[in-house]
Amino acid sequence: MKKLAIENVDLWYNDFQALKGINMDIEAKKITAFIGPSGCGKSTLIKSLNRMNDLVEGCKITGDIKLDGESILGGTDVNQLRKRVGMVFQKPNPFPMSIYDNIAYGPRTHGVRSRAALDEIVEKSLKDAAIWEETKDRLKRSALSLSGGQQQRLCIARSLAVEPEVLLMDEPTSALDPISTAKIEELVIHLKKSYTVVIVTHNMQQATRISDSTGFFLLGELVEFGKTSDIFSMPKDKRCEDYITGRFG
Amino acid sequence: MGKRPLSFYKELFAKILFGIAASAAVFAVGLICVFLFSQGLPAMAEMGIWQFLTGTEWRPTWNPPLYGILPMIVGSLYVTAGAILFGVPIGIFAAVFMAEMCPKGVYRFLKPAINLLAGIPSVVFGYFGMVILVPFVRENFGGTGNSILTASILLGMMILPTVITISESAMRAVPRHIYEGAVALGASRERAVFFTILPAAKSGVMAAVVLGVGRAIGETMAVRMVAGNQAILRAPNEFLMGVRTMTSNVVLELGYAYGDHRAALIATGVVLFVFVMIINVLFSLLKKKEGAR
Amino acid sequence: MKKSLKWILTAAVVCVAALPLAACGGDDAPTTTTAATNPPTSTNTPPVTTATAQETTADTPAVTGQIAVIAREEGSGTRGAFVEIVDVTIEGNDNTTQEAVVAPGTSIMMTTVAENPSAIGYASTGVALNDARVRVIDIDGVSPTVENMLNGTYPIQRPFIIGYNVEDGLSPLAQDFVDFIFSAQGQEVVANRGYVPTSQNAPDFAGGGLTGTIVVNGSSSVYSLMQHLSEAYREINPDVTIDVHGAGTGHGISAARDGLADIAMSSRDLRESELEFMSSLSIAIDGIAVIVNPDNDIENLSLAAVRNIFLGEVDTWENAR
Repeated sequence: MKKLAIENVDLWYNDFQALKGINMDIEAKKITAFIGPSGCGKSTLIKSLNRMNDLVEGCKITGDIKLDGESILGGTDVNQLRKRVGMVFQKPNPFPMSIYDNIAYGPRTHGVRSRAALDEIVEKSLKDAAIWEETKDRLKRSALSLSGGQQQRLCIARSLAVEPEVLLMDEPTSALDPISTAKIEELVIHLKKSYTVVIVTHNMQQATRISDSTGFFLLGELVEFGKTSDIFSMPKDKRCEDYITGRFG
Repeated sequence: MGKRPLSFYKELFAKILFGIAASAAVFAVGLICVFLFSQGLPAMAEMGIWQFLTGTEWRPTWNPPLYGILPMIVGSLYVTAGAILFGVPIGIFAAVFMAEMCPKGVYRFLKPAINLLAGIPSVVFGYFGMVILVPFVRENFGGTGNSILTASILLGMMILPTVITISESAMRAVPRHIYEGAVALGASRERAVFFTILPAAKSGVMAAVVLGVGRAIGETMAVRMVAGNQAILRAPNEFLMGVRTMTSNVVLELGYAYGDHRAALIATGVVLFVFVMIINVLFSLLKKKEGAR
Repeated sequence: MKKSLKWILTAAVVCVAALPLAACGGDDAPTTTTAATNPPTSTNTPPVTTATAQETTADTPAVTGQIAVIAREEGSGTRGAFVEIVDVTIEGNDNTTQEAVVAPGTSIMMTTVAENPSAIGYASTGVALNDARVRVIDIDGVSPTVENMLNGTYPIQRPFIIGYNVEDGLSPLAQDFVDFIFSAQGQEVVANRGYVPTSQNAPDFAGGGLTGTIVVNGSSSVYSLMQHLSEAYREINPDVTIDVHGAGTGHGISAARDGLADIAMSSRDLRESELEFMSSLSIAIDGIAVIVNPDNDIENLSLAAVRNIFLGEVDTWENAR
């Protein structure tokens, strides 16, 4: 079942065309990985899926992106869209407030006021992001007191707290050490039971370890897209093969 | 003994030069302290510190004279609080607008305008207050127009540049990814700014407020032109009546004063100085607490 | 943290909401838009026709309600002279009502009275008569004209005094300047500025041709006259620099005592303690004019009424008349 449909998407930053004719379907409750060298458009595409590109001046998009069959471009309520399509960034970006307030930020934004309901959401989200045990005794402490890996899992928990349907992850482990990375990968695999996950990664091993489908991007084009096992064992395109065998990138 | 390289002496020279510059500031503060306290404290002791601080009558030309500065202490507190009430919310909103929402074209005009506001001499503010604000307050609220309210509005305007500039740079210093994180959770731009960026810039904004308080409590020229300068203890609901602030008290009469009267005015300066010190200490305590969390 | 933020936001909303309201109030107030035909009143009391109305010009409306008393700061020479002559005292102490707005300096006094229809204040006649923004009223039916001050009928008048340190004496240059002040040319300047010359049939000025600097300091009331005197003197002696400062009578006297000024200016008779080291020369007589806003119809007050107003015993214009 497809969750997201990307149809003929072209995207410009002013005069520079960053995406060229992208077509792809993203399956529900699966992990889809975007790989490719720097500047290939994979981050641009993932940011288009919850319209974070709106923040970039001079960004123009044509074609269509559909979530559950409905276009998310044009007059869509972007705040509602971002509630349904959450995002985790490359660098952990907890707010400079308590752990509790970080998690409660999203629910509060969307109108949850009751203390009991918030308590419940905070606990559930932290548990889902596998960081409850480490934080349950210091929910009032500043989120900035956590380590980098913990901060990133906190950010995942923060995204989960608004109960999104899709979770976008833009190189979520590139700033982390191997142990934290492993923890997050484990978490992502676990999350796929309830969420559709799209992950951008530089790390091809990571893509093979966790993703179900992989798209390879080069110079703004989607060069090859298919099951991860197929892409990595028998790439059809020469450029894709060169990249995954480490000849460039 | 090995010959030291030229760069060593250059560095030493620079160190001494900067050291002297730094101690000049400390020296100036020290000198002012010595002057104020040596001249003010004996006079206060002679008049009775308690009587001086809590006396409600200021009659320096009477025989015998009465030196009670409670009306002035309270007056300073009123106009400072009033200035905060008017200046801080508007200042913070303006800073939010400038840091987060302002179109570039408007910013190019707004920023120099605010810098210009900061550069306007206080006597010009005072004149503006006398011919515009005083009649405005008199006609719309009553009283003579020379009042706590008028002084508060005027001071609120005068602290705007301080509050805006410092709050704005504090907000600009908040990393962009914090804002993105909030927006990615579905927060509107306004919510992201007010509930994420503003709290993140809290210590900078607090610094702006404290500096604003400092400017307001120390402002003299403009206040004495619009506040009415009556040395009367006012109740908070008498905000349409005039007050005299500590600064006005000193500057109004210092030109004529000699003997005990002069000493009483310098002692007023001591009290003002202590107030400013208390504000600074509170501010650093606040910062310390902030840092510890 | 969150509480303080909430507080700030609430306060902000209140302020922002209140400002346009206040502005609206301004637009709706009839007194501001129809000042020419309607009496602008400072309070809600309706205008009352008074007995003095017949004397006033038709377009000058009556002012009623609370009197806004404007005084100078304590220690000011003008205030000292006014309080002493009008006897705004109780048991010898300056008892100007504490509710009086204190205007620091002559120019702030003029502006404050000019901006407030119900104000009453005082200033040197030399300044007040030359400022169309305020109206000068008669005292006991006598206007503060030069003639009335010379013949002594105008009650509120005081001398303008210059003094110098008797021990050090005057430098030849300062002596030349003093000679000029008491010459026909100097006294003409005095008269032209609206003050009363103290020296009749003064001789022509014969000095001049000197160079150097003279420092003059003291009363801000005398300051403006001294400026004009020094300008007139410098027309004859362009190589002389005269620094005139108006730091106040007390300042000027201590500056002259300490050798920081050649000549001190005072707007009151010198005290006995000051005469021990200062000489005293009267260069002009200054009347103190009682001033009101031009919108005020009042033409005349008795000296006693002025006294009562400044004591705070009479506080409405109805009662003052």
